[in-house]
Amino acid sequence: MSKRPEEQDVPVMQLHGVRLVIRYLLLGFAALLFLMPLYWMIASSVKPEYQIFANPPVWWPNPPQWNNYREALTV
Amino acid sequence: MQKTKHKFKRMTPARRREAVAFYLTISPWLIGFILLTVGPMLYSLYISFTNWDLFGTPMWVGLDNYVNEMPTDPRFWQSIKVTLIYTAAYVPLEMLGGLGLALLVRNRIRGVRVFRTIFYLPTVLAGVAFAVVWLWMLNPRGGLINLALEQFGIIGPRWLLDPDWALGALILMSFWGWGRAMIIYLAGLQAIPGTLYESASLDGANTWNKFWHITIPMLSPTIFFNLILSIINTFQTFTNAFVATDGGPLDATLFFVLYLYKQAFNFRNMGYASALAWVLFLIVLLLTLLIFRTQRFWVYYAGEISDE
Repeated sequence: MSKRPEEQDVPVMQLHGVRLVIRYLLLGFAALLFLMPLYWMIASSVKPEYQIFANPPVWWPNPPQWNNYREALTV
Repeated sequence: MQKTKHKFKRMTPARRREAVAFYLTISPWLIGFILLTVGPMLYSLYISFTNWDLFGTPMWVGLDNYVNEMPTDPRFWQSIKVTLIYTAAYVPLEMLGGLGLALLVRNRIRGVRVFRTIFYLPTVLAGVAFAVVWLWMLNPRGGLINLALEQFGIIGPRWLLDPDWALGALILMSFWGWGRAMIIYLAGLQAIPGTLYESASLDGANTWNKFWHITIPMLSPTIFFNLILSIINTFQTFTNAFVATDGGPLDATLFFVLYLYKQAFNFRNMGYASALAWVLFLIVLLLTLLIFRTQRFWVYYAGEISDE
């Protein structure tokens, strides 16, 4: 079997220096946008009702209402 | 039929066994497809020529649903308008956003797999959960988006509750689904031989040249595929509107399929709803064929021998 010219055989896809830093900044920013709603959903799942739309927002539910899950599973 | 039988008899025993095995192995899908997809489709075609409230006997009305009901129904036109606006905004955004994400996670740098997972994650989330999260995020009071805007002294709009903003809000939250396109682009990008880039570099091409003269042409079949999928999906938008707005306020987000659903199960006009479904099918089919026709102008298949 002859070897196919896969991308890993070619070093052009590597990033270095400033380009690498910029790439990570962009990735980090995009990841933040994508993770925020997800985090919010998970955090809200252990909040008491009144904290869900609280202003200022409750970032860290305290104390976490694990009961929400027990309730959801026993309905 | 006669011909097929004859052909089957002429086959060598090994060939015949292979054919039987083939049909046996695809039979679970084939039977499911015929019973669960083709059957109901044909039935809905029949129902679309009747008036039926789901319980009584369907009453034959011929083309009435298509010829008389639809053109004079303002909500039908509203649902067409909403769906077209959403498609016109969403498809280009998803095409560009998905490509952007794919380019970002293309290189083999440390942690890139984690980022790929993060961008794809919302796509595997259940549709209803997707809509509910954004219902919270876009809540006019206490939703994260408006709280963030408040930090900059901006009083956010009422988003999903405002007829002027509701469709825009659905477009805004749709970026969360770009992972679907990203994963397909990524597969396309990884199929491009690195040697092309290498030789372009030796010829002095910069990043920009390589992008326009290697990446885009080599990726054009993937772009084409994504475009078709994206349009078909967008025309069938349902869950977000059903959960987050229920078509409101003032029919501002009355998507075609949502209207179809309402006609079928809220107003129990199964005949009219079936007619709507067939109209949607024809619209999507025509649009897809149209895009297929444009293929030869911009899609490049490597290894294909052009006869022109």
